[in-house]
Amino acid sequence: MSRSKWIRLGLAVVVAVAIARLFCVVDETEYAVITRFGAPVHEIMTPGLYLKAPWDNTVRIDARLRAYDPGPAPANTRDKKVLQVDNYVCWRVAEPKRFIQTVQADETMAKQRLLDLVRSEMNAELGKLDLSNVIAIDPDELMLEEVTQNVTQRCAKAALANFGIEILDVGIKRLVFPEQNLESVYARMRAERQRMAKKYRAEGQEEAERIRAEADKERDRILSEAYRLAETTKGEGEAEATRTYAAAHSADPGFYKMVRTLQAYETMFGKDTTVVLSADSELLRLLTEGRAGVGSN
Amino acid sequence: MAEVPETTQRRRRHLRTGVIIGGVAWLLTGIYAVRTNEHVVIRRLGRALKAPVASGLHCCFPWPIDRRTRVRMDEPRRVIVGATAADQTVGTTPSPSLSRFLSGDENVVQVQMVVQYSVSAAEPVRFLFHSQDPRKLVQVAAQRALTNVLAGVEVDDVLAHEKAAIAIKVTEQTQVVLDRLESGVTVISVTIPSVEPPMEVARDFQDVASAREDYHRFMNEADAYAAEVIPQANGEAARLISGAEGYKLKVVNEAQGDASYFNDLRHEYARAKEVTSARIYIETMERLLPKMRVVLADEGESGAIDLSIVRNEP
Repeated sequence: MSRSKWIRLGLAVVVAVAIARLFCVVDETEYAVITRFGAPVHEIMTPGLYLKAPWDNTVRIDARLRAYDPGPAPANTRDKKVLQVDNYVCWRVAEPKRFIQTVQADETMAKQRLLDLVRSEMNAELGKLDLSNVIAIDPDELMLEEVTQNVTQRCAKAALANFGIEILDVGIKRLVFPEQNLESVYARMRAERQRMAKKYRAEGQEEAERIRAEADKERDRILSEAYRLAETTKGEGEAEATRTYAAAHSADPGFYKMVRTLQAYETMFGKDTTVVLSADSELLRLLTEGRAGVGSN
Repeated sequence: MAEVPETTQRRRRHLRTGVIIGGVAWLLTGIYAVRTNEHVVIRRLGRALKAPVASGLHCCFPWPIDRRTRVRMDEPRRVIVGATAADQTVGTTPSPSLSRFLSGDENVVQVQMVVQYSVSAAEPVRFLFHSQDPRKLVQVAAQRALTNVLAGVEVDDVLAHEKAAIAIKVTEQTQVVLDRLESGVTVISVTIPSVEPPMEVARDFQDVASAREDYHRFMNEADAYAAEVIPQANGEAARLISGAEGYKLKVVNEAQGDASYFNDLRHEYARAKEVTSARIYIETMERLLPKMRVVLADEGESGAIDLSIVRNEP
């Protein structure tokens, strides 16, 4: 190729590059900052096609929201309990110019700054509360949500002013006792469980005793009432029998005495009994005295 | 330009065909199909068009003017809390340090949670371009919600029956956070497949459970005792009462029998007192004396009875 052709080609390339550099497409996911010889002059916050001078540069900054979780760190409560707090921050760039000026648009540096900010705010906020306010059964005592709200607000203000970063949410991902305290926590839990187990068993026995005692009482009531009824019935029987006997016997008491006495003899005496009979007893008089006595009596 | 060599002409023709084919191919990059369950979001010169494109065959400006992003709308996505990415299969032993949470009564529990979410129906643009990693947003939001909910409940409730209630609360709170973050994510469900006390204290928790069983067992045993004793007592009572009634009948009947016997006897006796009494007396003696040892003592001679022989047989 001839020399003039080379020059023409070179010019065409330069013009093409210049035309290309006139345009700047800003994507939905980013902001752009137009810099002129290194100095930021203009920030583009909405996506679209823009015109700029060909000698201006574009710095693109990710405008998207991101979650940063730096990992757990210890924090003290007011009552000197140590907690392992796992924070997260949801943030995005709000003022690209300031973001570039303060942290050089460097995400790692931004994260470091955010980490320092969030940790100190979170620790300060938790340090104002007792453990019983951080975690609590009673919803009136539970302040965790307020803590995160306060921290979010405070951090949001500071981050925007200092780094051009918008913080949407600061929260506690996880809250737990630090590893080195777990053994004593477990010991406490164990003691608590043992106490509960004992209580359940004791209460069970108490209830069972109560049921048994109640049953025994009921049994005694039933039996004693039955006894009362039975004895009353028997008494009535005896009374009626006595009445019947008396009615019959009082017709001739003398005869009754004799008959009954003789009856009694039959049961009183047996083969082991020895009787000494006087020879002149009525029964034996005939034996000892002969027929002399007959007829006189 | 009169003298153009044949080779140059051919080259130009080839070039023209190439340009045409290339142009058509370029234009064709603007034609695309969208399947039923997905949306396509178009970024025209960087700016996302508000209305996502639903299913069908469509055309738009060719690349790089329009750029298309497909997103599956109905596909449930999943995030697991309380496990590392490595052991994301549900049911595997959760890595203890990640799954530890605090309950409201200062107990440590190990929780595994599965969050299912999808792209909000009207907000695929947000889902795609608003955040770097929606999945991570869901992860932190769900974990925050779980921490928050657990911080207000007792460990026994966590372990026992309140699991479903906790899952519902976590769902709500996760959604609130995700909405505040404008993430374009809808939480479908939160399930808690595993809640356990830490391994170190599992036995003691187990013992509480068995103590609770014991509680009921003791009660049941006592109930069984009551169920046995009272019918027994009732039976015994019935026996006593029937016995007494029987006794009453017996004595009354016997008395009546005896009385009528006596009356009969007395009537006869009244007719012949002397003879009857003698007969009764003698008959009785006759029955009695042979059974007994009888000693005759003649007072007339010795004046006293020798009692030495009057002795019961051993």
